[in-house]
Amino acid sequence: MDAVPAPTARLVLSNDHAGLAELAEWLARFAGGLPEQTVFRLNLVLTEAVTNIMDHARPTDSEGRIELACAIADGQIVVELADDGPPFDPTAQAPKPIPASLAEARPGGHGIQLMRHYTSRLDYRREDHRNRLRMTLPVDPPPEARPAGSDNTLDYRHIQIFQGIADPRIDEVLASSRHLHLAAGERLIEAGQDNHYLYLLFDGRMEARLSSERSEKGIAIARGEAIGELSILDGQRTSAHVYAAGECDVVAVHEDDFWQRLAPLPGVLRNLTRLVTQRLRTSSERMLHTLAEQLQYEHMKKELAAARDIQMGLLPHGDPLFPQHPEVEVHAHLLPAKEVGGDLYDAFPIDDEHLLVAVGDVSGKGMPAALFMMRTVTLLRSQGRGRLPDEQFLPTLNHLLCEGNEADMFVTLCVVVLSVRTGRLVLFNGGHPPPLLSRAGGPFEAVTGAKGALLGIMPEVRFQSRDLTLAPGDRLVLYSDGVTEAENPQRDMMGQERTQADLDECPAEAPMASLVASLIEGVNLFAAGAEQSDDITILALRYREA
Amino acid sequence: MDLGHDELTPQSRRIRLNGRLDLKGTGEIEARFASLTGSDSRNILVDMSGVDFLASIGMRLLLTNAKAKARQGGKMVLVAPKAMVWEALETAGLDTLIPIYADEAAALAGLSA
Repeated sequence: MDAVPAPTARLVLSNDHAGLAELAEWLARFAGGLPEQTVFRLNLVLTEAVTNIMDHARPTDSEGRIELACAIADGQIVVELADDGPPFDPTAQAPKPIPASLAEARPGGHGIQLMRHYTSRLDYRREDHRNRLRMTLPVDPPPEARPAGSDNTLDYRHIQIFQGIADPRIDEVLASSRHLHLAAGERLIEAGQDNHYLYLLFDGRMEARLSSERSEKGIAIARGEAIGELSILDGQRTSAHVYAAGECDVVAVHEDDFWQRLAPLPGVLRNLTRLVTQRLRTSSERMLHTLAEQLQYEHMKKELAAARDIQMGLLPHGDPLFPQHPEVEVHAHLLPAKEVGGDLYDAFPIDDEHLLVAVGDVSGKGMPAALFMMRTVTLLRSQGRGRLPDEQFLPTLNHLLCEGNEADMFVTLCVVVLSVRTGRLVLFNGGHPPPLLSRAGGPFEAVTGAKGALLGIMPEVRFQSRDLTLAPGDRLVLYSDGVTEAENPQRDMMGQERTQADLDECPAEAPMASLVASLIEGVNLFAAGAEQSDDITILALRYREA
Repeated sequence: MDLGHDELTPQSRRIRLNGRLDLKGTGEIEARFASLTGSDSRNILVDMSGVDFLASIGMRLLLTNAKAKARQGGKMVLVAPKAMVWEALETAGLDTLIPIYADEAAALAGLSA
C-alpha cells in the first residue's frame, strides 16, 4: 500500500472508550462539507474499526494509541488506522451467516459485515509491529447532482443484478424502459399471470405474498432487488403477488431487452443467478423453519398440559379441606386460566390444634411460573409442618426462595395460622391482597395490618404479622388478584368493592363451597365473556364452635 | 441518548429512542431498555425515527432484547428508521430477524397479525 495521499488529516486517538468520543468530535468537524450519507458511512466504518481495535487488539505493554490518517481525493475517502496492539486482521474474519430465526441469532459480530458493506476497499497489513487497516469509501454525490433528476441516466449502483458493472448500455436500456411509481399497498404483480418484464426496485420496499390475504406475512423485497426474474428465466407464470410496502420506484425491463442487451454484459447473469439462489435458499429455509416450529408448538402444548396436571395434583383436593376438624369449614377452588398460571393454595394441619391455610400468586405464566409455584408449595410445607410459624416464618421462606432464583421470579403469599381450640388467628402477608373477614354475618372487610413485600427477590425484606381472634360464625376469605383484576370487555376491573359486595350477597349460613361458587359466578358475570387472563383462586374458611 | 416510552395499546408499549446508538449512547440506555422490554408481556414497538446513528453495539442491544422478548412469547418490532439506519440494519441482516415497519400503523397491524 502506498502512503495515504495528501492532503491528509491526521489524528491520534486514545485506545479506550474516550477514543470513540474523540473520533466523533473530530468527524463532526472534518466531515462538515460532505454529503450526509457519506458522513454516516464514514462514521460507521470508523466506529466499527476503532471498536475492533479496542476489543481484539487491546494493547498490553503498548502506548495504547490509535493513529488515524484520512484524505479525500477523486471522489474517494481513504482512511488508515494504525495501532500497536497484537496482530489482528479484520479482513480475515469469516462473514457472519444470517441465522434462520431470532432464536438462533447470536448478537454481535456485525461490525466486520458493516465495514465490508460500506467500503469499496478494505486492506490490512502488519508493518513495524503495527496493524494498519485502510478503508476506501466513495463520496456520495450531493443530492441535487444525483443523475436521476438532472439528466436521463439512473444511478444503478445499488441494483443487485448490476453490481460491480458499469456500462453505458445499461443506461440505454434503463432510459428506454418503463418507469413506474407505486403508492403503498399497490400491486405490481398478480400471481398466476404471464409476465414479460424484469422489475428492478430502484427505491422503496415491496412484499411478495402467496395469497392476496393482507394479514399473511410476506417475504420482504428490499431496495435494489429484482422482481419477476423467475418468469423471465423459465417462461412460466408468476408465482406470487407483489405489493408495494411504501412508495416505490420501479423500472420494468422487457424480457427481450434483458436477453438481447443486458444478459450479454459480463456479470449480469452471474448476479442474477446469485439473486435467484438466495431467494430459493431463503424460501426453503423458511418452509423448514415453519414446519419445525409447528411440530415444536404441538409438543410444547402437550408438555404444558402435563405440567398443569402435575401442578393441580400437588394442591389439596378434599371437600371440605379439614374433614377431621369439625371446628372449621374450609373450601378452596383454583380456576386456571388458559395457560399454565402461577396461583396456588394450600391447607394442612401444623399439629393437633393448629391449621395452616394459604393462597399465593407467582409472577408470570408458563413453565417458569409453574416450577416456581411448585417450589413455593414445597417450601411452605417443609417450613410449616410440625412447627408453629413465628415471626421468622416469612423471612425464612423468603430467603429460601431468593436462593438460586436466577429467573427473578417472585410470589405473593397470604398465610393464615388458626388455633381451632381458641379461634386465635395469626396472619402473615407477603405482598398479597389482604383477606376479607365477615364477623357474625356482617359485611366483609379487608383485614389489614399484616405487612411485608413479595417473596423471592429481596432477602432483606421485613415482615410483620397480625393477630386476631375469630368468634364462632366468623368467615374469612383468601383470594388471588385474578378475582379483583378480572376484566370485562370494556376493560374495567372487578375491584375489591365488587368482590366484597358479591360475598355479602351470599347468605351467612350458606356452606363455604357455595360462598366460593357464588364469588366465581360473580366474577364470570362481571367479565361478561371476556377471556380469563389470570388464574382465579378463592379459599373460604368458617370458624365454628371449638 | 434519550429514551421515552408510553403504552400504545394494552398489549403494546412504544419505546422512543433519540440520538446516537453508538457505544456511549447504547450504554446510556441499555439498562432501561432491557427493563422496559422484559418487565412484562407487552409487545414492544421501538420508534427509531429519532436515531441518527446506529453502530453494531446498538444492533447487539436490539437483537439481545428482541431475543429475550421472543423467549417470553412476545414480539419486538422497529418502526420508521431513517434511510441510512435502515440500510445499516439490512446490511447486518437484522431485518430478517426483527421486523421493520415504515410507520406505526403498519407496525401495529404487524404485531396483531
